[in-house]
Amino acid sequence: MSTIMKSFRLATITLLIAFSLPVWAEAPRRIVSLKPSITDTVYALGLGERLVGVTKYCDAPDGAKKPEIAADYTRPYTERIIGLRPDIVIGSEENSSRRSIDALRRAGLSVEIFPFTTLGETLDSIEKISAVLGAPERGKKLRGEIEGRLDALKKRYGDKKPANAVVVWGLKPTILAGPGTFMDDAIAYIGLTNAARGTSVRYPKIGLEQLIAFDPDIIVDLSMDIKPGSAQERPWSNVDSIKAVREGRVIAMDPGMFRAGPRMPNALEKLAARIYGN
Amino acid sequence: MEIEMRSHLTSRRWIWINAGLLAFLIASIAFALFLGSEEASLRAALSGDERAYAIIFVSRLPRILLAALVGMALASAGGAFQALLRNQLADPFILGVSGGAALGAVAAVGAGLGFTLQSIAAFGGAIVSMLAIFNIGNARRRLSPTTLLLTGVIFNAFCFALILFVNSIVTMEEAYQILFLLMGNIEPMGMGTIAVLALCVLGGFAMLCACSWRMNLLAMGDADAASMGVNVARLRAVVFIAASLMVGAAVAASGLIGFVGLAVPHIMRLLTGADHRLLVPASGLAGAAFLVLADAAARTLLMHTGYATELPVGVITAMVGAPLFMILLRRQQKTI
Repeated sequence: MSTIMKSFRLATITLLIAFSLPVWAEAPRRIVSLKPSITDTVYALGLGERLVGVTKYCDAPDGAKKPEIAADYTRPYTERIIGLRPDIVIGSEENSSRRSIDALRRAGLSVEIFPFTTLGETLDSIEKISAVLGAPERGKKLRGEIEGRLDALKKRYGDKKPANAVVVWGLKPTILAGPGTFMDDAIAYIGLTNAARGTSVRYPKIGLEQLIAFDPDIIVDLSMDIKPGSAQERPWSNVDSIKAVREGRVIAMDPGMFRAGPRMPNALEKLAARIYGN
Repeated sequence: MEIEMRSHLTSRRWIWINAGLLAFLIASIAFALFLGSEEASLRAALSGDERAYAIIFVSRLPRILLAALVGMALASAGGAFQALLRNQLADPFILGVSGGAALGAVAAVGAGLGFTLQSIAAFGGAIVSMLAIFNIGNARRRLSPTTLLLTGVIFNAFCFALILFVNSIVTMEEAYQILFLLMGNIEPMGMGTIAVLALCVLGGFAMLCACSWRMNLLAMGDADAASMGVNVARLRAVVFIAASLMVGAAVAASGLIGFVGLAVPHIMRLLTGADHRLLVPASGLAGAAFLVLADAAARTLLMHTGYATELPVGVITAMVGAPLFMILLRRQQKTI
């Protein structure tokens, strides 16, 4: 009887190991990322050495080996990606062209798509990415770290005199971060209210008139064509009726810092330092 | 003029030129199949190498077939329009058919519809714009090609205004999709979608070829053609529907790719003569081969440079096509 029990137990253990093995072995070793903030996430999870393909706009931390370029802003290079033999391709609902994603799936690749529109979605997506990469505990930890730093920012700046701000993503036409975007969520942590919150679209294109009407206390200028040292003409230049212009509180920063991803606390700390001084 | 054309075109010449172009098209497809940003051999693909199989048969081949079908559609439709309107400038773009098709496709993108409905909307847009342009241009029951072209230009401007209107009210993601449509973009698609496209394009192509001898008569003027037993109104309707079907499907699949519809029929006219029985099929085959080669260049040229990017195929078609067209035109002027 006990022999039967023993062999039964042994069989159970063997089966358990046999079933858990593929799960463990399936943790993707070769990753293609189709969005800069996904690339940032993979590096922040400590899995950067598994990246074999990234977008043109991704950057690797200092010293890391640069993976191959496998996509531009919205279009994956299907042939190159197939050639890289990835175990997983991770894309976003915002950037990744549907047709190319379908083509990658037809080629038998496993493609996972995550949303990054709001800050909440971004944090969820970071956790989910860590899970599909077989490192869910690292994802939980990373999320905890990001949330901890955001809470610290809120504690430090939350009771400052509330200020209205606009976040400028693009010029000609002027494109702002509207409601329901990650920047709208993010600036709240450093005591700013999005002056463009009342618009009806996520990324409103606005005219100077509307900007004057918003009358922001602060303009955060993340428009892409910042060249250091060159004083570029902005639509609001010399429009003194805008409070931010009158008081010289136009803050230009590198848009690459403000990706919907693990860099966000760092970027917000720098922005807060520019606004409030150290 | 008609007698002269007939004396030039023998059935042997027709067969030789079209067979030659078909062989060139097949060679272009084979060449493009070997060309890509990644190493992948056909032999490996056929002997079970999954990676090579996916690169060649899932990524490369559908793209090549798409380019061939779109090239065939635009070039043969352009040739037919030029014959029908007796105007050298006629092409799906200038006539506003492409603009109408693009508007249909963009509206479908804005409404969040899939490819098949986008194609139907593009076809609808092409037909409606064709009818509108044709009715306005034909107002005094006498078709004036100049009025027709002018109407097309205005209609195009109107369509583009509406496209930009839709573009400003959709989400960022849909706006990108619309931008690709306007730039002209060839991306791999599923074989089912390609089959639908092939049905539209090859069906339209066959119809245009069947009408091609009557186009010769039409070249002499409506009255003369009618006196020789051609039902001019019916011929126009058939050709317009066939061409709109092709252009609508092509625009839905790949957006607005310029230059093929205008330049390829002209180049073929300079090379093979003005007889439409030869010109229409020859333009279709040459257009297909041209776009296959242009897309092969677009997807590989800059891939291994520091830019590491694909080019819009319209960049290649215009950059190669325009000078080629000039050279041929100049050579023809010299011989005359």
